[in-house]
Amino acid sequence: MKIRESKLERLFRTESGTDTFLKKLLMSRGGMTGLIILCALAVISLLSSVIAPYSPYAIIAKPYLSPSSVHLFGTDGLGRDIFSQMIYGTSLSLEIGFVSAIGITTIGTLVGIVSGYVGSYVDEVLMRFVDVMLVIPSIAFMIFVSTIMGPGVISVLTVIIVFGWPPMSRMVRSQVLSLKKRGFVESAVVSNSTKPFILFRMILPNITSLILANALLAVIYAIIADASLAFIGLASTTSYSWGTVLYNAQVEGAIYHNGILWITLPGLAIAVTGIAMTLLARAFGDITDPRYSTEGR
Amino acid sequence: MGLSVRFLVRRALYAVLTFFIALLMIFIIPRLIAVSPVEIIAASQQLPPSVIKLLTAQFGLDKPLYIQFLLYIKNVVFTFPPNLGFSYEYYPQSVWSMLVISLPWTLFLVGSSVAVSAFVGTMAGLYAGMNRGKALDKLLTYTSMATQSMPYFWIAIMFQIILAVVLRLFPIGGAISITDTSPVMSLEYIQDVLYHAMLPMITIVVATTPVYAIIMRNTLADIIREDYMVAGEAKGLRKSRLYYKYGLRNGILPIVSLIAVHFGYVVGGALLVEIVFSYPGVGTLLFNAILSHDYPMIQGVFYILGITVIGANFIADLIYSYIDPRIRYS
Repeated sequence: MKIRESKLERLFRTESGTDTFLKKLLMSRGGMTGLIILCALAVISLLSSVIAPYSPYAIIAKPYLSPSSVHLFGTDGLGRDIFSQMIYGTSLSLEIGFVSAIGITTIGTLVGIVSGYVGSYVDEVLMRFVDVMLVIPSIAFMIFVSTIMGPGVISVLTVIIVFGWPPMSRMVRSQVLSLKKRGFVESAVVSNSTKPFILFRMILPNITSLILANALLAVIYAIIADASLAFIGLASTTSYSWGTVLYNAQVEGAIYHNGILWITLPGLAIAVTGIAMTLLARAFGDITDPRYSTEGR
Repeated sequence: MGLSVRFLVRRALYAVLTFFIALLMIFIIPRLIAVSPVEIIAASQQLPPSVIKLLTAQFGLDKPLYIQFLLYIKNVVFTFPPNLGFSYEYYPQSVWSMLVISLPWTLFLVGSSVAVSAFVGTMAGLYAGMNRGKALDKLLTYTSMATQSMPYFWIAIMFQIILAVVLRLFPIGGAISITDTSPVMSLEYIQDVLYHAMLPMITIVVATTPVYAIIMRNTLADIIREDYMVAGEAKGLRKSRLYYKYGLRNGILPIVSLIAVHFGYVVGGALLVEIVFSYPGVGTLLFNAILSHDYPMIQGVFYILGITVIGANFIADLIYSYIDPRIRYS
């Protein structure tokens, strides 16, 4: 047994910590499935211009063609290739999902940490505000704001983030509150550690996995919110997300023009993405939740 | 006995505060994003100049912002019926008169769906919690994962295709048959209304039941460890009695608060479901208002939804305090 560890070795030890985390993630069936789906989606969106045979805007055939080998999912009411729209849609939907999730996670975590750690009237004010945000029907408010801002990716992102962070802050706050009472934090407070040290080196690392799991769920929340806004005609008309494809299918009467695939696929794509995110988030939770962990800490 | 007055007053104050903040948002956001204020209230170009003059005076649109806000509060809170301006699409109908026609349909749809899904969800959750790891428990977990990952309105579209277009079991949309001339409140009329409401209701029930069920199931997992459950089991109570009398009674509390917290989400989803089925509620009204840039109407819809959801939350608070004495006396 070694008595002293070099800095390098310590670094490696933490490295192997992430290593077992990855290994555990790959070992769990759900986590693996989620990861594979996510990778496939990432590849599709990175290579969208290679995979899609046509531009999603180009009118290349007769309108309302049934699915065939040339047009896998048929054509829309203007004669544009739906398969290409779906491929490009993957890219935009994922971008909206991940960018929003980053925004939601950042704001939610910050507000939650401040509220939970500072406490007193700051906590009271912030949480009352969060209460209000939680009561307000967010989709209706999103619609309200984006009609005023006008359609477009920026307005979609803004409203999704603005109405998405409150639940996250609630979750982070309750975690901070319970961590604050734990022995190692209390002893740090007593031994005069600085506040930033306690917050960022002691509390934050302990809730990182939970935050990540919730960030994954925020991705699907954002994709669904984008689809909902698109569905009432509030998404950008100049770029394609899955929601835009679905909106066109509904408005152009896909049901009456052999467009079953056309109207089914966007929702299915969203559902598959959502299931992948949920599986991953769960695998995260199962691995890091100490109640299920066999190693004591 | 009796409700704690302090608790009631505090919850009522929260409700009023929430409503006030919602009003502030409705007021301030359009002005922040620089649409001309007259346009917000009156969609100016489409209205006759005399009406614009009238509205400008009523809402003080040429006055400083804080006076505008006070006038706005006076018009929408202290006037009855609330003066929400005129709909430009349906001019000379006022926004309020349109809302009054649409809101009952939405409330009917959401109210009956939530009642059904809360009941079914609670029972399914209880059963799954009693038999953890069994078939129904697993089915429940997967269904909830799936329904939470799908857009609400897409489920509506799928039901519409399968049950209305292909199987022709239900009408594709609308709230009553065009041919229906039977008087309101006759048996035929009620049958017709229910028949049309079936598909939207099924959609909302399918999308929300798993949420209630999962909460019930997880609450039960905690309740099982409580002393009174252990004592009941040691006493030799039958499992069904233990769960229905002890478990359900305590597990119902989180469900009640969930119904309140969840209500805004359900209403929001119902708006989109209405659009799919062209159901004549607030959602369809909102959709048409968006298509025609009818700002006053959009604001009005948001106003009425705010009142509805905040009111529902307040009522849920009352129910919660009624069924949980621990809250009442704290």
